[in-house]
Amino acid sequence: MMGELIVRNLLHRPLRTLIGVLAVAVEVALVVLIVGLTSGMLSETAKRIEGIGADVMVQPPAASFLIGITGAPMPIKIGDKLAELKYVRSVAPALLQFSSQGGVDVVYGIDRDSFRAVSGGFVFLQGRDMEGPDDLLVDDLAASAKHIQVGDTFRLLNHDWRVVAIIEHGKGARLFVPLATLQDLVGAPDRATIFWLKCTRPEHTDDVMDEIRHLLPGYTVRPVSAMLTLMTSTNIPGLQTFINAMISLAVAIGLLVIFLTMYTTVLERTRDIGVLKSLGAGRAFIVRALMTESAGLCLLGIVAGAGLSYAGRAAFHTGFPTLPIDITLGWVLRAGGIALAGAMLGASYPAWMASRKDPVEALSYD
Amino acid sequence: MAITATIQQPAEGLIVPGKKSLEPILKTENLWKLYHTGKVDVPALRGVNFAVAPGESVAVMGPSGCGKSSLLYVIGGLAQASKGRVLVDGNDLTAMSDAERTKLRRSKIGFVFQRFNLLPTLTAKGNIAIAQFIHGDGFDPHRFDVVTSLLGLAGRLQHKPSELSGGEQQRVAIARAIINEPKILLADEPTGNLDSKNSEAVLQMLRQLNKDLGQTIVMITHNPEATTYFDRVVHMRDGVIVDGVPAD
Repeated sequence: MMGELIVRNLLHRPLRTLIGVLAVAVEVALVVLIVGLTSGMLSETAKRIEGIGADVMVQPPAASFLIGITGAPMPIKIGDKLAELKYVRSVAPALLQFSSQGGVDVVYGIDRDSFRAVSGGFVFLQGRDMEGPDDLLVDDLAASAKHIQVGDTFRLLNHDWRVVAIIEHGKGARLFVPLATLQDLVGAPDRATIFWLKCTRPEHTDDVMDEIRHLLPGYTVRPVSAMLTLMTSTNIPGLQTFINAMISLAVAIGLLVIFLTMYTTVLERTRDIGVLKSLGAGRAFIVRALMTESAGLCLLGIVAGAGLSYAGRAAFHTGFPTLPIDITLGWVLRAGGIALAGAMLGASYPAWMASRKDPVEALSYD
Repeated sequence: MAITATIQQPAEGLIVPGKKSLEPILKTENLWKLYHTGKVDVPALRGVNFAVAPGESVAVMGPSGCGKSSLLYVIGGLAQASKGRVLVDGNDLTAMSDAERTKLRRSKIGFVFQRFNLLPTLTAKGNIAIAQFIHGDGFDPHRFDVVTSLLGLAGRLQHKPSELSGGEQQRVAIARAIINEPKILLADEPTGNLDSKNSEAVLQMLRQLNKDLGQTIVMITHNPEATTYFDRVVHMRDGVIVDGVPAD
């Protein structure tokens, strides 16, 4: 009977119910998409770094694991010393440059042959490997997002590059240029941001790292396999705060809309509340009826929000193929839980207000 | 229907015409009800002494503002008395908390209102069944069928209140009020919003409930003709009972 009462109440004002459901759906989708976007970008970046195929990465002292924001302070000759270490099969220096021209990108300046030795080479979807100083390799996702084709001239870092290949994504960056050209462009000749090392066998990674720490005290040495665990929102300064702020904002929207919906519902149903009280319904019954109605409305919103999240991701993927959104069931459930808690909080005051109504006044309400 | 009057020895007996001396099922003693409007207390009831025997039907008449509705709300436990006592089936309402009065109302009182007061989102069936649900015994299909057949509602149960005539709505309200076999049925001008034909039908039903099933009924009315359906008529004026003296 309670179920019938709630369903019929929800259907009685379809527009109000729809607005409430939409508000919760937007709340859920906002949380899922923001978390999905941040975690998706971080994990995708980590996977791309792991996709290079190196075992160890060497950076200057105090360098961040966010390799794109580090400068180029290391002499390139360090690479020769690293190559001499036992169990090191190959070393590839890279100069990383942050570019905000036409989007946010990290451009890798690489030495073609050493990078190939470490990574096993690119998979060329179109075109050929870099040969000239102005050659640019673009991965398939960036090519799609920027509408780049082989043979195009692409302006990047105030320099005109010739697109010579579209490569399969997953090898560190989305844009690759010759190391020497990039060193000249950024005024860092014979310098590198990072060295990628390939060990003779993966199980030698720890030994190699120990040797590097002995050879280059203070330098940052990390196993590439650790990137996936390092690339989380909690490790990025301010990112978790940003996520929390966005979640709070989403919850506030949902809470206020549910509050307003239930508040107007209680006002509209004042007489009905009086009737229920005249029938012997106690305060707990009134509270339960309204809270269950809010929960029902919220559950509809959560389901709609999950659908909206997937639809949003699909739309986002079409418009921005380089921005991955990682939607997980865990976060959908968590966002649903957050929305439900917010809805219950938002409905609690109207429900309490309804339960306290004087039955005689309620019955005479117009 | 098992609504029966329990006949007891008349400790403070009442003599109901045509019936035996009975212990009152409803009794008020020096009942006062004050409404606070700003800094002023406005008395609606000024020491009402009133008793109803089991199985009795009583019409309460009086001009607007004389305290009829206040009396109904207080004896029905919807409003708290300011002073005095209200005894319903031996339970003193004035000594009860709001929750206790709610519980008593659930089990012993049925209300019928002038404006029907059906829940607009539910069907006729839902409006009746919700009273059973609140009562706590769950849906009793046999009881439901008996009551709806008695009130001629069998073919209208799937309709919402907005799809029913005034007379049908009031019959649904009566069904809702008696579905849990309350000791007392309180009706607040149940024919006030009905035309004469439907008014007569509703009054006939109330009389049938009283005569055939022994349902105790207290009804407020402005309509002198309506009182002819009742065992006894009580007149009120200025918050007091003026028995035997027509108030209008």
